[in-house]
Amino acid sequence: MLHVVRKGALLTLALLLAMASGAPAASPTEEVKSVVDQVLRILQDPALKAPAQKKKRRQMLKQTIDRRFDYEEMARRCLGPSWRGLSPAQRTEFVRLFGQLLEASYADKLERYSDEQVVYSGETVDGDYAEVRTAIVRKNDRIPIVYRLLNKSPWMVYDIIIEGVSLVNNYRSQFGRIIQESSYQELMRRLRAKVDELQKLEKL
Amino acid sequence: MSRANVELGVGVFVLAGIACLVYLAVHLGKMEVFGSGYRLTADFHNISGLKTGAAVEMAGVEVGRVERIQVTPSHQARVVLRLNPEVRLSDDTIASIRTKGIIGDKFVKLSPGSSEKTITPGGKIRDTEPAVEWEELLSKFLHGKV
Repeated sequence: MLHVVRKGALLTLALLLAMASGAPAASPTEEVKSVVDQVLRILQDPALKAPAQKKKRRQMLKQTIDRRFDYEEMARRCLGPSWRGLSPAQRTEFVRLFGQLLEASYADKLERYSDEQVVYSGETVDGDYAEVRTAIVRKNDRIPIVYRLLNKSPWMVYDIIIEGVSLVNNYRSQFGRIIQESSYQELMRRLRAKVDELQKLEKL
Repeated sequence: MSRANVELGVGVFVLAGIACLVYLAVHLGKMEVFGSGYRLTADFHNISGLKTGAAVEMAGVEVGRVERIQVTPSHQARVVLRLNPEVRLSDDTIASIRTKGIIGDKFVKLSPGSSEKTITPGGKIRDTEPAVEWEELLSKFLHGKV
């Protein structure tokens, strides 16, 4: 009897050890933190601050963020029910354009960074879904940012809620309205126009 | 014999009257005693004064009501929604707290997603958007941020 109990205990211990050392499954907060830290490091790097380095810096930022942002999941959620009616080719096209839109709209905001601090105030994990609560703290201001992640081993970000406003829901209602009023083609045309406009602004 | 019949008739009449009253009370008071539809929960960071009985809308159509509101151990607001039985929600539906007009009542707005999976009765709407404090945003905008 004792023997069996001891064997069970050993097995449990072995399992625990395997879980602790084996798969380095980082927690959602760690995942978010690693990306945010790396982005901050790139932004703070004095060697990359020169205007001539702008393109390289943008490239590095994009690579860092792309690793943990699930653009397909985001695009799918933003498009809402209309996604189901799209062909695989249309889906790929939409995801690509959506990625460009995000990059064009958020890159310059990110690059205007100046010494803000990021604080982490907890996470909630519910099965394959997680929520990481953070805030950007400026000298006398605090912007709450919540990341929503989906476990696709590793955890990938699929929504960002800034000051209580969800990125996905913002686009979902806008895209939905455009498709309702005109058509999916019109949405694509407007997205392309918007991306072009933002990229032109960027070049000025 | 006939007297007994009259008494029986009166009894039936009174019972029918009471049934009508109960029906009226339940319907006018919107008390869903027998509860048609199913329940879903959703956790919000801030519901900013959403009330029990508030409307749940999808595409501007009322599809349910707020049945109960409680505070979770992690200090979030847990809202129990009762939805009409014919409403099916995909599991990436977003629930947000919105205001009718600028100073109107708060309600829960559902934006359906694209997922093939639906939320089963008793399930949870995972993606939520808290109430936005318009007054705070407006004052930040009017008076400028410090």
